Amino acid sequence: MNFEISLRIGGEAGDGALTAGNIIAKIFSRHGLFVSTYKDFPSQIRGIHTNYTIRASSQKKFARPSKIDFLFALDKESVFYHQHELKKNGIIIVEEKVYEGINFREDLKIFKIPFIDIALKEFKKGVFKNSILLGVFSEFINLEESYFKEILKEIYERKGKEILNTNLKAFEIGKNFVKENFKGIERIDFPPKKENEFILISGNEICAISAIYSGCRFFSGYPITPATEILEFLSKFMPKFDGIVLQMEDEISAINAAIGAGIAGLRAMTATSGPGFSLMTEGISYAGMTETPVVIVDSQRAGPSTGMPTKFEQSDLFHAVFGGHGDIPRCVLAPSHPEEIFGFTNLAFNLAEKYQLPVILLLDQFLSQNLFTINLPEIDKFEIERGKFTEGINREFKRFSFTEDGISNRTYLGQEKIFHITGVEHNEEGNITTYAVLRKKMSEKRFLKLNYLKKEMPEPLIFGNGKNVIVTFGSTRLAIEEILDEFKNLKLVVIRGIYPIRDDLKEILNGEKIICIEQNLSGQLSFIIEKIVKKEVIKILKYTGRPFYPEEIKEKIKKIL
Amino acid sequence: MNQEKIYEGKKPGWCPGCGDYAVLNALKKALAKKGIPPSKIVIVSGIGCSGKLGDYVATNSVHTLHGRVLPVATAIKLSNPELLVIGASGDGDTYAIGISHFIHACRRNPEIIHIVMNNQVYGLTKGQFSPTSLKGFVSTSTPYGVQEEPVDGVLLALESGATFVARGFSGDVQGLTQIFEKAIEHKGFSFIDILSPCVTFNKLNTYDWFRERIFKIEEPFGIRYLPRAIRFVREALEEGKFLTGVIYETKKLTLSDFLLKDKEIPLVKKKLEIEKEEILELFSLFK
Repeated sequence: MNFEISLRIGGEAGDGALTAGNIIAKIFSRHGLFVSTYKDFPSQIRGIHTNYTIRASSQKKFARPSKIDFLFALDKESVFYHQHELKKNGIIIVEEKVYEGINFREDLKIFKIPFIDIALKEFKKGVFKNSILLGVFSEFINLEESYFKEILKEIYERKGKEILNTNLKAFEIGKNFVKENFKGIERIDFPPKKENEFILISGNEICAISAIYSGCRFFSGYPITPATEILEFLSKFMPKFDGIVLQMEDEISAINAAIGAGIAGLRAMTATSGPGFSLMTEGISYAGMTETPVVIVDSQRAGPSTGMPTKFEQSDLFHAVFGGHGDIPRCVLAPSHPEEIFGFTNLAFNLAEKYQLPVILLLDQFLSQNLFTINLPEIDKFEIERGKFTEGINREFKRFSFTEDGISNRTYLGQEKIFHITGVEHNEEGNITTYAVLRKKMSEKRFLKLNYLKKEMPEPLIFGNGKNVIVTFGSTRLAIEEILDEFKNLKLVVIRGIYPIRDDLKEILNGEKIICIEQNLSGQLSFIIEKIVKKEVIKILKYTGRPFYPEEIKEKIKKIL
Repeated sequence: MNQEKIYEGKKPGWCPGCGDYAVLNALKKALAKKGIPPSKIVIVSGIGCSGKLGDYVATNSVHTLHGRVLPVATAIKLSNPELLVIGASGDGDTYAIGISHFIHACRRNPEIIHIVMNNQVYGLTKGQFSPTSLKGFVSTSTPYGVQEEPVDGVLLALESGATFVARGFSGDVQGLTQIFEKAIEHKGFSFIDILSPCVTFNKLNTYDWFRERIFKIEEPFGIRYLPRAIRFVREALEEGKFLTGVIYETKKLTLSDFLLKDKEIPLVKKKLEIEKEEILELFSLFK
């Protein structure tokens, strides 16, 4: 039997929805369920409505759920915005202070709890609401109480015994309140515990760990939502591996410093989102021209301009593929699933070094910042491949020598033989030139590499073998995958190697109807697909800043077929 | 003299009489005196006439984008502390498009040298005013004269926390050589603003013009008290004069000291692979 539960905690930013939600997510994950979360947070630290959704399933389902079983409403907005998303006879636990004057749906099971008053009465500052909430929740589900206590202990023990005890007390208070005030609650049953090696982790954290594993020893960045966690994680852990992390003054310096480290001979990375990615454009052009490996993570958010910093979108595709002046050799990769991020980050570093060019790793707010239950990556499968990087060079060494595949030998700076790097057009030795024949030859050399890189680009994922083709990229795949079984005539193609385009893609995309599902207004993937298949595609687009619900896609496909 | 030969790069393409020749000669003299092998030197240059310096010295060179000398140079030094990293830039490159990198480099104290060849004009684009052009300066983009206050790199560096601040003059190769030698010896961010006349596009700030306005600092090791250094420079500027020599020097924790645990083996020579267990340990944080 398939099991599934979704719950949402809504409240004011600062109410503790995140902490409580993360603990619940961890409990589900340890129980052996696949968990995914969905943060719907404002770009503001306090005092505005925010909500956090946790979905747990016996199947690997990671899309944003359209219906929820359980709602904690700590502010009025939570009821207004979310009660219609509760399933029939769903449970709503509402803060007593916001209860008055609200019209509730009649089918709902409503439980009024004075979280604020309890917190104020028991604890001076009215804090620890999240632990009270956990206590309350524990009375609505059939799961071992020890899960809760174990995790509370792990989180709060390092903050001191007193804080731990207070949280444990708050947990008990929540529990007891439910026991004393509500009789005969039908607890939600869970399947038995499944032994597992699960971890519960965000895409940004997977990316950061993979970077360390993949030999990245230089990271320069600038804080930006939703990529900041990569900077933070590496700042903390990179020194253990003798690596360097610099928070720079802006994204321009971040990309240029990363390129500097790449020129020096290190594996280097930077991570950003739309506005920062725009600033990094000059660096993409410079890295392409100087044939310097560098990995640029762009965690897409809703644009343009500042857009909606905490919200989701897939609208940087054009910029990733086409952004920058001049003819730039580059590579664009887009993992479509949390489980792919480790391998794709590793691949990004390998391709950057083997082909000596900038590699853009496209993530998005959904993959980056939400938590997912994944199995430990099979680390042994991933290696460090440095291509034509060599430790020593002889006197014949020419940094930009013409070769059969366009790839020249590369080494670290500071060898017996000196060499030159420049963003100006140059000859094989790196000396500047404007000589027409050489200019042509050098431009072609840089692009020749793409012919070989193309063959190493990740294959698209293919689900089903229907006559109509659905094509997508990035985390949009997660929602489509869940409704695929409902249609007989479909083939889903998930493109993960965006640029350069594999030669077999045209054949794979061959279908009666081609439907492109992506989350931006301009149909950026559609544009590229149309170029490949040389016919018009049908677009299913969303650009509200919130990812597709699986059901939404189902309805839209139905209309088309 | 022979020692200098090994640093001889391509034949310079600067205008005859350009102040940058003096910078080039003084730099080669200082490098020769210190006996630093060319293979262990990287000149990181920007865009502008000054940016050509890397071509004219036979060392490793990295020619960056306009204004980005400092992020690149900082990263190279951290990646490989064995290298002597010298930034070569101009007044447009450092004080206009790259000014934020400059202030933050002063704060960070990377162990690099940064030379600004300051000719108070955009030479490579043929004569527009620069951030150091004096008020009233008539240029191709200021036919009615410059309205803006000029930037003074030395003052800015002092205020931003630089640990070695000097000003040189292209009319004094010997003085310039001495400054370079001291800059090489200094552990930290060595900043040198060089008054380097443009004989083609700046007919105002000529060699003679500077000779009348320059006075050398008397303290051979610079002023050790920051507020005093700032006051001296400020007062000189107020009187329309330029203080030259090593103006200020101090010791502070460098970026390398703070970030690099192991300074013996440069990061670029370390193996990239790590133990599987170390990665599993990171993942175990998310159990």
